[in-house]
Amino acid sequence: MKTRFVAIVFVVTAISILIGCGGSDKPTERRKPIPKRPSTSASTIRTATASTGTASIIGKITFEGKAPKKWTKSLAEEMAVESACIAGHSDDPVSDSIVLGNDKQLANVFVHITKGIPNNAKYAIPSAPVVIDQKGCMYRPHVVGAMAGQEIKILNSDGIMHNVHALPSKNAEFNKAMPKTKKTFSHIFEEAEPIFPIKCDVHPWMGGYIGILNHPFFNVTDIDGKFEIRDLPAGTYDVEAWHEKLGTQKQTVTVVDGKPHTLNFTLSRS
Amino acid sequence: MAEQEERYYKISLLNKWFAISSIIFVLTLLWMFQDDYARKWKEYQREFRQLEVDKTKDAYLDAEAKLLSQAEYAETMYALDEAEHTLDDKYKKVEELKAQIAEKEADNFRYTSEYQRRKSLYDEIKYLYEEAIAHHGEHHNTKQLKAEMQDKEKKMNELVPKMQSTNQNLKDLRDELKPYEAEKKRLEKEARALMSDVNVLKSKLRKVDPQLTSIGDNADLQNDIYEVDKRGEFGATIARAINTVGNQIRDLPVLDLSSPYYKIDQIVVPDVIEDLNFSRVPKVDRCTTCHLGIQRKDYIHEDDNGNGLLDPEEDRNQDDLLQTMKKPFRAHPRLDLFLSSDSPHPIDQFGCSSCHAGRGRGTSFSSVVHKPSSHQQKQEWGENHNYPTKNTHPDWFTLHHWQRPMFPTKYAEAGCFKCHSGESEIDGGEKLTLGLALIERSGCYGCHNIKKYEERKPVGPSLTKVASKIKDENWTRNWIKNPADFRHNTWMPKFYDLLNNRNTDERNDQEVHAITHYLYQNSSEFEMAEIPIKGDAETGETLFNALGCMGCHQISPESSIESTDFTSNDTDAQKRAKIEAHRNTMRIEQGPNLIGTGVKTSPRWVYNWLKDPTQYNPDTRMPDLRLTDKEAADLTAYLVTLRQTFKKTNVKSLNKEILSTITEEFLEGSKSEAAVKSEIKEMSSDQMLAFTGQKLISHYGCYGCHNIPGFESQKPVGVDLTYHGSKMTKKLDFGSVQEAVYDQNGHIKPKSLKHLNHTNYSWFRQKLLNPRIWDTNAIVDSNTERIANLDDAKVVKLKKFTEKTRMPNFGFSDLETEAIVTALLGFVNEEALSSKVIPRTPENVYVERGQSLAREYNCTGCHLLEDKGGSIKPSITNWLVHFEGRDQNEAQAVTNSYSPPNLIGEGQKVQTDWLYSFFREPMPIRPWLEIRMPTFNFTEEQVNALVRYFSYLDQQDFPFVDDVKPTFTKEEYTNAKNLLEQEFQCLKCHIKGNQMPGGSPANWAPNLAMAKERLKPEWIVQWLLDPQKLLPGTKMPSYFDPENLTTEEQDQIHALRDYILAIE
Repeated sequence: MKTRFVAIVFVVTAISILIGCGGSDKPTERRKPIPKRPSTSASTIRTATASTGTASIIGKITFEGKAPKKWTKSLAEEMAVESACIAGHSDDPVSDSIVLGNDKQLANVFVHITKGIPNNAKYAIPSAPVVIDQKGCMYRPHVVGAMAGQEIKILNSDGIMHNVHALPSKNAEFNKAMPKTKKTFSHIFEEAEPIFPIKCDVHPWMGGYIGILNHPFFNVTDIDGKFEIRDLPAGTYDVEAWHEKLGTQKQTVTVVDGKPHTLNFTLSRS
Repeated sequence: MAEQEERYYKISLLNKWFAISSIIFVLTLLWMFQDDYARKWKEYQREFRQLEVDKTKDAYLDAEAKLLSQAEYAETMYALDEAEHTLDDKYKKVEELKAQIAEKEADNFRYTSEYQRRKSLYDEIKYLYEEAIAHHGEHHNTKQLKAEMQDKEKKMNELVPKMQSTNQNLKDLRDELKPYEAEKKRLEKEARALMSDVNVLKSKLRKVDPQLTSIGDNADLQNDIYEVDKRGEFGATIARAINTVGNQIRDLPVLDLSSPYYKIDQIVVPDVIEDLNFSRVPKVDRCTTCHLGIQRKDYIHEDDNGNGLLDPEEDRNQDDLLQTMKKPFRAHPRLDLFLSSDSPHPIDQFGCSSCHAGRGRGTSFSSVVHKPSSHQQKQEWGENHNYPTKNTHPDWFTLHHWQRPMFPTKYAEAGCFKCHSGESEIDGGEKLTLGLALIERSGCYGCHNIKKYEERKPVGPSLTKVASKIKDENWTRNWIKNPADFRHNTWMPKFYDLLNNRNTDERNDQEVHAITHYLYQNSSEFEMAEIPIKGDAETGETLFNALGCMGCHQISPESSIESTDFTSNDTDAQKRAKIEAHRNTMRIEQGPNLIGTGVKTSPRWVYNWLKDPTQYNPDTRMPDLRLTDKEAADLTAYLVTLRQTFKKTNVKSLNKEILSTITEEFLEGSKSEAAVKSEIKEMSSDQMLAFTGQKLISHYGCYGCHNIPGFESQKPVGVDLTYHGSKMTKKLDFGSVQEAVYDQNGHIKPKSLKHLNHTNYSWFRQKLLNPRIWDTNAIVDSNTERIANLDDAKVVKLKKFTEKTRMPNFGFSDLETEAIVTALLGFVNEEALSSKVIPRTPENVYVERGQSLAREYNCTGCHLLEDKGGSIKPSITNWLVHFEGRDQNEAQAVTNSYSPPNLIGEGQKVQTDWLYSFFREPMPIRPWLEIRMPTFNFTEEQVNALVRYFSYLDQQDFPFVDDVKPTFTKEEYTNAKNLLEQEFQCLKCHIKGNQMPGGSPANWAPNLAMAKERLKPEWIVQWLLDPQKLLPGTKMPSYFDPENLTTEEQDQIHALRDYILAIE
């Protein structure tokens, strides 16, 4: 019984296979349809960047509260260890953590857009590097912004031993020695990460900050407390102002093409 | 016709019965057949096959779409097409060439064979001629032969040019053809490379998809497996049909014995033997019959992916197929550690049930003894597997005679302990590790013998001089009565106001009086020095934050335990994170929370304790911080400002009446009633206190955790836990405890009240949560597995005082309970195979010993060791902000530089002799660190074990042999000195011998003169090359780019090293 069953199955299978093979007397070599040659070359697609606009945000940041002491004396004392540090200053060295303009305008505030830019937007990375100089044993500028992938060039105008110790949390940490013979050093941060300190372990008062973003919409206030974010597409954005001692503040703005939008912040000392 | 024989039965009726029973038999046979054939695992396999087909098909179509959209592919295919067209265009030419080649080949053949023929004729004559000369010398005959030979040679050579010319012709023609073919070949190769992904998926599909397997083959199918039917290729459609039918046929009953697709998959582990009482057989695990994706990385479910096995991109885009797949198909969550062939536990050497337990031979859900992790899971399983959930036998998942049921998933790590019992940090067994740490920290081994901890010191402070430390006896009474009322997170457990003694509060107070009395009566005097200088509390607070006290002690008035406990919705990944956080908390809470120091003890005691802890307690784990008198006085001044008090506990005054009844109980056992009565009459209160105090300490086993005079050699009071996981469940007393399901209003759901589920893990859990539960009629909520009627539960067991359960309550959280139960379940009485355990080499044994010491002395509270610990860091950040005036951003960024050094790679770094002396007498290395390495009260054995631990952990030789003896010429020396001092300016920060850098010591770096004694020469090279790699966050900058190191720089590094090693 079993044998017969198997035999029947065998015959049925054999016949089916024959039928199956019967259908296959077509040419054996068939290839995929050949795609059309693409009209644009692939390389242009890859470097396509998100569009910028003509809107802008301008504003001023002021400081509220008691102006800090300038700590002139203690800093000069600390710096006395190294004559080159003092030599880099025309006047008495002044702490660069809270720097105020004549009318309490606040410098060194990092203003950037935190929300409103499409996540997948890609912007061209400027080819010019962001430059930080070590002069008079201070970082100049004290706060900088750069785009992820943009070169950051660090100079050593002092011509003495410094080390540049960057302390990011997302990007890789580095700590590079810049003995007097080393005049420049370049580094590229690949990940967006606002905002992290850099410092010099040889001169403990030396500190600075770097903000890395995926887009070009950021600015650092000057001595008049002014900032300007340009070429912004029309839309609604969250704008954040950050200061190392005074914390952050956020505002939401809607900007239209071709018009500068004014946005002011007041940061106060708690 | 013969008369019928007389019968007692009717043939016709019998025939009917025979017919009916035959039919029944046949039907039953068929039924059996069907039942045997339609096994549940086949359903799983069918479903998985479909999942596999769907998944692969998706991947294939995606890969194909991606391929088609690739510009490169399009270009290649275009070029390939063009190349073929070129060949076609030049078809004639190519054909011509091919014809010519064929012709020339024929010519060539003709000439060659003719040449061969003539050569053989020539050879023959030549032989004859040579023969003739050899035998007869030169004569007339040879002359004739010679002539003939020369003639043949001529004829032979005539052909040579012809042959050469055809050969050349052929070569030319082939060369002409070559470029066409080469180009085509190249393009084909390129296309193949681009299509490799697609082709791999295609061949996989042809293995799993029933429509595509090779039974009915078809060329169309081979090329375009999913596009053909769109274009209505008839042959392919037929082939698919045949394949489908063929696939069904191979799995038909009986036929499936030859080569079925669906079959039981089993792993045999020959060296793991299963003891089935009367026979010992190799382990056979058939789990992979249903757990089909268990080894497959592409079946890792999002919920299980807490280990970064998938990249985040992939993780986010996990398709619906994986989200909705059945649980048995999911991959093992730790394929890096388990199952895969390159992991430490390959499946073919370990199987599944070696770790998970259960009956590996089973092929149905219940016969392998799966055990649910929760009531909810039990319900789900009941529904999914058609098991009755409400019937009288609720433990359908218990296989009665199988003594090793599978561990519920939440306790799965218990299986690690059998082989990893020597280790303290078990990779992948984080819950088990936490369980062991909790057992150590709460001192379970004080009352319960556990072999692993036999050598360990008691966990509580010594009480031999308690009267000198705590002057206030009332404080001690309140503390014994309710320690958590004074210090919320104390490890001292609660003995009173528990389920079986909360109604005897007056008696409890008298017990406390007796115990306290005994302790104070037997306390010896502690000589304390006067505090020589007045301390300043504010300075003390700064010191407390700066010196590193917070690596072990916190000052936290509020409890924070709830925030880290498990909740019912936690995923495995969240649970892992909570376990890690809990470990961190345990590290920084190694020592007592210091709230209330000022209430508990005197400034003088604190001062003396800080100056030298071993004076008071030679066994203490508290190290010596080498404090100056001023520092100790400042710290003391600060610590005594901490004045936490008892909130509600107040032990009532002595009551002689109650006390005498307690005394009576203890006397009763040995004497007659009358004798007892008269003896009590004669006893004073103090005598009764002393007598009952001793009895009570003995009863509760206080001496298990504290050194108490008079109990030095007493045996522990609890049961031995060494093999508690193997203890048979029926030997555990579940008392009258019940469980029930509660609705939202807190009412018991109808028919859900029943005896507590008899499993060892539910017993362990309840015992840990409420140690006195078995004396009562408590009802456990099936969902939360906690007592639901905590306020109403009554003692129902008739027991004398001494028979009552007496384990104290540690107030464990759910997380802690789960971890401890995991460890207890792991304490099994099974011998681990020597081929499976980590080899017992001295190296490994010392590493384990080191790990154990590192945990006991809490090295990881401050240091990062084996990637764990450094728990003090948040306190350092806090110190930088509040005491050093740095802002939060900066403080966070520089925390690493102000933290104790991480000890990863310490064995490679330091010399063994130096490390030994450093443990014995630590000295400051990093001048900027305020935090201080304390002097631990290690025994000789402990220091040696630690030194070896560090060496062996980094695969270093022990002891270290210094084989680098730098030699210099004078010039080399000057150059190296110049490099160090002028070019690299190392001395801007580093101390060199007595030569100090400028500025404040906070910015200095270690003395280079120490290197010779301290550092291994090879490490110095690695350090100079890339300091950040060895010690992330270090202030030491890098001077070189390790990726692009020139020979010159390499020489510089070696010169620097040699120079440093030569510094006197």
